Amino acid sequence: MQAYDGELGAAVARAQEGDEAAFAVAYRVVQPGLLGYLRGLVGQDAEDVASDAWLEIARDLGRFKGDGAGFRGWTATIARHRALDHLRRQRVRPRATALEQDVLELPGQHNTHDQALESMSTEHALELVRGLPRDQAEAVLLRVVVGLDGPAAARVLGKRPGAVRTAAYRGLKRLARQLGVQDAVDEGVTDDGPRTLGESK
Amino acid sequence: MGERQSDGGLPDRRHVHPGATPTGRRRAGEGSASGVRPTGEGSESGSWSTDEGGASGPRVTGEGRASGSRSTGGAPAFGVRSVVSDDELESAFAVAIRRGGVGVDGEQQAVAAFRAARDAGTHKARTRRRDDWRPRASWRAKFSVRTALSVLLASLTLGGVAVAAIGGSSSDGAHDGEPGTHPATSAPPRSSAGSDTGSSAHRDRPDTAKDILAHCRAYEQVADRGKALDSTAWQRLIKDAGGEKNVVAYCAEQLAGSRDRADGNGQDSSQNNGQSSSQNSGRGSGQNPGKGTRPSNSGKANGNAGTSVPKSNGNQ
Repeated sequence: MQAYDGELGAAVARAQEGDEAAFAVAYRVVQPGLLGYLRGLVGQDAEDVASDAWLEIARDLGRFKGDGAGFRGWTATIARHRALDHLRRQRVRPRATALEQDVLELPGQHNTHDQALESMSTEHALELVRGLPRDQAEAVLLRVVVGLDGPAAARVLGKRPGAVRTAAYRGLKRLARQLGVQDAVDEGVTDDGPRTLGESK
Repeated sequence: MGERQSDGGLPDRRHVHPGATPTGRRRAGEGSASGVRPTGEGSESGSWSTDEGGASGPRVTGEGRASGSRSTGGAPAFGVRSVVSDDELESAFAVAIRRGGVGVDGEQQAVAAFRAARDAGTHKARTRRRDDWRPRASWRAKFSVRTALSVLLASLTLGGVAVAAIGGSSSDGAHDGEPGTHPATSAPPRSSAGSDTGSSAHRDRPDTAKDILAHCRAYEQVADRGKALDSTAWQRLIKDAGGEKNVVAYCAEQLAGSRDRADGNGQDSSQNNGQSSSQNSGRGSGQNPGKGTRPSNSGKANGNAGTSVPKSNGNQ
């Protein structure tokens, strides 16, 4: 997706001069990654949060300075703030989360062994990523799905680049382990591991 | 991805519980070491299977499962994983999660919002710090070049002013207007002699003399305050005077001498000004840009400038 950064930068520049067709182009380039990131953050509400984010992006476009890669980072920051707002609101009335998470995690859970990477479903991929610790999940999503480089992802998250790099690496490592190993996703087993290991001594 | 991960993953797991299930673990390790799966799969399945073995109860089952997964399910899974690089894993997730991202409604909504903001003039808003995503490196390079230039300019200006201030008194005292009389003919020998051998003497005399005078003036105030006299400068003054008792007398002598010299300088400079104004103006203009660390030298070197340009440059 970094391949489109030149095109994206040009579109953003034209949009800043008032070209709405160029803004539509920028939307089409950025939205898939942005929505994927938001799906990882807020689940099924991602579409709503994304449209909130786009309202803000459309409003503040004149303030933005930077190239295509910068635009990805800028929009991801806006989307993240909207998502955190959304999660904060949800925490006050926590009806939706559990349900949606269940819905999200039901399919694909037992397909793990047979699934090749190529045919990985959106739901399954999201399920795996959302199973990661929060910092790893966000780092992976920003790096892999949004397509940010290390420093940009760090700026979005407000962390040091080294910390984000480590988190992304650990997250990807964990994802690979879960994808590649049989029964690895069966969490009951891994949870019991240490105790029974102690017994077997 | 596969290789690097499992290379890192195997030692981690071993450190966590070393020797917890010795046989099972060694078995799994052998499995991976025996060449069936040199990279990721062996280590992964080995460690996981040990955990599972423990979970399901007796250790024997653990080994059984480990070997089972090695012999049957392991091979195809390994076939998948060994091909999986970092890039493939990342792009698989990217493709899966980005799928179906663009909806027509969302785009129309966003464009409508864009149009409204544009027409309302909202796009003229000022850029905040968080809106500036220009590459940091170029920004820093630009900043540093500009900073370096202004620092250089400031130092040149301040240096020039300082040298002009110092040079006003000391250069006139250091030499007595001789180059003014015949600059062209006597220039070459004088420049080499003056710069190579005589420079330190010329430079040091006014400086140390001034130091001594300053210290003498301050001495009276500092003398009663104990430790201040321990500093190097004061020690030097006391040494020059030949003992603490003699300082007052020594200082009185120095101050008287400096007053005489100042009077003499005043006459000298006025004579110079009167006699050869062109020479003086040439000297003055030469000193400032040269920001001569050694005022007297620069004065001379510029006096010679007509004949030996390289040498005078070398002096500065």
